[in-house]
Amino acid sequence: MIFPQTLIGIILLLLSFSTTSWAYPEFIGYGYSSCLTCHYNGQGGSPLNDYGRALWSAEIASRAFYPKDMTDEQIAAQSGFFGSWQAPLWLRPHINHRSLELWLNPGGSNSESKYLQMQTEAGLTVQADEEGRFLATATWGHVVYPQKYGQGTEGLDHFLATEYYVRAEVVKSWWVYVGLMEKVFGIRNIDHTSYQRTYQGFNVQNDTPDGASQSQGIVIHKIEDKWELALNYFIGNPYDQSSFQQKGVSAIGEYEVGEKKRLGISLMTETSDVLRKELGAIHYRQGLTKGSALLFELGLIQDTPEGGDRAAGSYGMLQSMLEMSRGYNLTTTIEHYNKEFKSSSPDLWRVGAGILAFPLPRLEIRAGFFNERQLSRMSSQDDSWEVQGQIHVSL
Amino acid sequence: MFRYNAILFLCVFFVGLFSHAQQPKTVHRKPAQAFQGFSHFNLELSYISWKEFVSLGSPTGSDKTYGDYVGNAVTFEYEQYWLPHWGAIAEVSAIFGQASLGGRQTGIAYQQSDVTWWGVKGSYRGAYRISSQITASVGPMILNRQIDLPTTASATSVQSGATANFGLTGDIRLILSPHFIIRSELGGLFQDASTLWSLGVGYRF
Repeated sequence: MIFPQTLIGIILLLLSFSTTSWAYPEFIGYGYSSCLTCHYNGQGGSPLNDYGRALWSAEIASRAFYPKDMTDEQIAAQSGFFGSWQAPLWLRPHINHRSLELWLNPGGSNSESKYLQMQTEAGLTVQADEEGRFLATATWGHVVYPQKYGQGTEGLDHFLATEYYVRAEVVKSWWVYVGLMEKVFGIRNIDHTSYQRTYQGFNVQNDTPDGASQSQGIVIHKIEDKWELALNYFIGNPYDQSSFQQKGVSAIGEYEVGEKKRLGISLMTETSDVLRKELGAIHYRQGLTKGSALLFELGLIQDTPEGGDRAAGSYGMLQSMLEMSRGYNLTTTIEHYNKEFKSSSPDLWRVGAGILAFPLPRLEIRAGFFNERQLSRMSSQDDSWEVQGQIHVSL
Repeated sequence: MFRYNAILFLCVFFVGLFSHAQQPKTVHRKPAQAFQGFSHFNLELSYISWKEFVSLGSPTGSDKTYGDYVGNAVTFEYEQYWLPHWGAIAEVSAIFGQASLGGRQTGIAYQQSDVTWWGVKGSYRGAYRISSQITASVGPMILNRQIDLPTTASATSVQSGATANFGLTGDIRLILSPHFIIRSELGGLFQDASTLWSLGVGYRF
């Protein structure tokens, strides 16, 4: 049964080669090293600011659907939530939807498909000044209960705040954020199915023993041209059951070792009633030719469950986004995870490729496949395959 | 065995990390009509893995299971470009490592780990330069590996994949500095075997 799956993989790879690719922290490939350029949150991942919206429209998304005589500046001028109407600073709404269709072992006897709603949310940012030195933002979303993920009963189960914070540049280049935000650690890979996100405990769902990605807390962020440093103190996600709420500190630092080359380190320690978790990672981003980039992260994870034994393991990720033409990119991923540094603990490997397309401003489409292999001295088993299709609409 | 390879793989990457800081050379391109072609030799060290289908035999019946081949490849490549974007890459690799087989089948009890293998691998691939730092290539490959699979009282015959195999492979090569490259490969072996992938770092002469 593997042979046709392999053939499918190769065909997909070949098809991928004939088109394009790219990803988000990978925008260093466009020369944008800091997330603050495009996002209200300087660590990335939150709503786009006006510049980020314009950049997406004028530089990143394909312009194939626009008339040839329309300039990039004119396209950028239409990138606001209300199109070309210039809303007042206190009115910056946003709406996002991201969903994933997942096929496991397609064509095999154990094949199955799942639909996962990843993000359905809306929010508002209120900016007090033109430079955005003082602002507040809040996002509400419909979130699926974890036990219903992919079980065929998915839906919009409960409505809650997914992010809210106030931001202030208290002293020049010193930014402070207070509220509910994603914890600071590592490269913010948006692929939540990756090992790099899964085993760090950055779950998008609430009430998982491993922890949620969003937590209430305070972030202090210092940004200079060649380096940046962020410190995060967090006290847990208020929507988690109290026993799952992770409290702790984390930090990230990045230094520009060369043009479009950033080397960084991240550390985190957090504790809940059920788990103590410690993380450390080194990471590296390099921009290649315009629009293309390489991401690398290598980390250690130590989990100590309440009443259980300590388990220390590692993960690694190498991901590239390669621009084939404007708006169309090829992505490649190789990941490794080992739960424990013991011979009895299997090595997991995940190798894949795909397409990341921005055919229009506000629209992102991903398609890809992954081969997952478990290597163990105790037994050998069949590989598993994943084919993913993802759509993201950001208004 | 797997631990050793994983550590080696990570060490290679860690060392490679610090060679990124070099500034790329300024390339003065000639006009397209004056393109004369160019070529490079590459020397690479990779972590490689593929899977084989294993047939077990005993006096009373037969069973099927899997074998994981994991190891390293020392690769010598010659890449040549006749057009600004198009060319070809010839590869020959010395490969060596260890295999683990069986353990999950229910008919005939058989499980082995750390079984040493060695061999050669070659490929000839059409290459497309996406940009000055990125190349994709695809083409046929051959792989010959030698392994002595132990038999047991319960598994009196063990046949894993094929000694000489062939398949199709593709790769992406990123040129991070004038001499330093990272290469990821994904392919398939066609004869009683399955997906092959590798990840390597290399020096571009």
